[in-house]
Amino acid sequence: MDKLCEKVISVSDLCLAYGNFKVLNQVSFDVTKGSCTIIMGGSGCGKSTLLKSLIGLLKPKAGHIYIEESDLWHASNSEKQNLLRKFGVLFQGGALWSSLNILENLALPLQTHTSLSEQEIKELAYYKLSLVGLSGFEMFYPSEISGGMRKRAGIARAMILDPSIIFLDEPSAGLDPVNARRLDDLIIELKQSLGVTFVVVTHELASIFEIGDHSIFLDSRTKSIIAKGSPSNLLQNCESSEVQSFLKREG
Amino acid sequence: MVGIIMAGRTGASFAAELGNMKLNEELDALRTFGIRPMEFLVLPRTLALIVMVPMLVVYADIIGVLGGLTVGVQIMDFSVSHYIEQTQSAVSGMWEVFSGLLKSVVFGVIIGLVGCYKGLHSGNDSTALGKSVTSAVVMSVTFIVVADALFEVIFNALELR
Repeated sequence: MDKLCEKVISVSDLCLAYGNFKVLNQVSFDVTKGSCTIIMGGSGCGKSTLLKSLIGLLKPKAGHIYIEESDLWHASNSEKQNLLRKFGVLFQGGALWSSLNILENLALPLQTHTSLSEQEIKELAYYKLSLVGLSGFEMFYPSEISGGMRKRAGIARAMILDPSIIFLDEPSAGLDPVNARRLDDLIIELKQSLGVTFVVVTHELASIFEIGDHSIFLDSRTKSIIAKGSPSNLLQNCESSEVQSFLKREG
Repeated sequence: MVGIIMAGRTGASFAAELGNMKLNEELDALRTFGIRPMEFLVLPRTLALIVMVPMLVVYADIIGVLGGLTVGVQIMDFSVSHYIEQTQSAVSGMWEVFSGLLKSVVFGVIIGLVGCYKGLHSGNDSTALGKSVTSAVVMSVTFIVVADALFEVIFNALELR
């Protein structure tokens, strides 16, 4: 099989619910290695819920999530920990640990999962922060930097263990256009140079067309995927009025 | 007394801090890195209280005795030696002190666990966070009163009083 078409995530017949309230039903899709898959759809359609399940935080009611052929939700504890180590996650608000400074935020996963020396950890953290343009802010606490900087620090933390898959929840929400563009460029660079696979939840049309190789469109009415394909292909060929309204930003 | 003060001060602070972390997805971020909140957040806080509450009890005991001495000597015209004699006879043996320390360890566990539990299980908005903090204090104080009563029953049953 072509390396580039290798499936790294395979979701089959996934059903997600909060208690008795069903959010998604019978969702199936694949994510190929080194690609950027966009999860899109209107507000409340279950994008973030799907992401939560993909990163091991919300147990599905039914269905399977395979990460490189291991079933995430039926794996043993140690197997699941190994799978989680392949992930990097950027949460909507950055989710930096507020009692730690930026350097400590990046150092904690390294201290937990590697046997690197303090000096090596520090150097690696400084390097990752330089990649997102945050050199000089290592000793700042999350409350002392702007929302955009918190997001960039969150991305640096998501990359700290050199994950093969990075999940981003609304990465450019709240960022100014210049920083949003920089973030898109960073995603493209990481994808091309390191072969990192991205799964991105976003509403931002500019980002969707810029970074997305593949996309799935969730619909809150049917609680399932109503369209799949590259964003530009969906724009040109998808007949669904919901998808067209969303991608053309029509009322 | 120290247990009640610590429930209001530290138990509430634990619930607020952890509840805020939940609100900001910081707990989810820990879990995605395979770091268990129980080990990383709850255990150190509870251990800290197990160590610190007895120390505060000793501190409060000393301050209490000195406070009594000040009031006795300044207002009630006791002599210092008379006050010390009376205090020694009132505290019959070291059991009084040790039983207080023993209880304070349990109170520390109660405050730590209840505060952290309420924070970790707080809702996802600021109103729910406020309710969790209030609930943490009320529940800690209730458990402390119940535990204190149970201690007295056990001490009496074992004829330690």
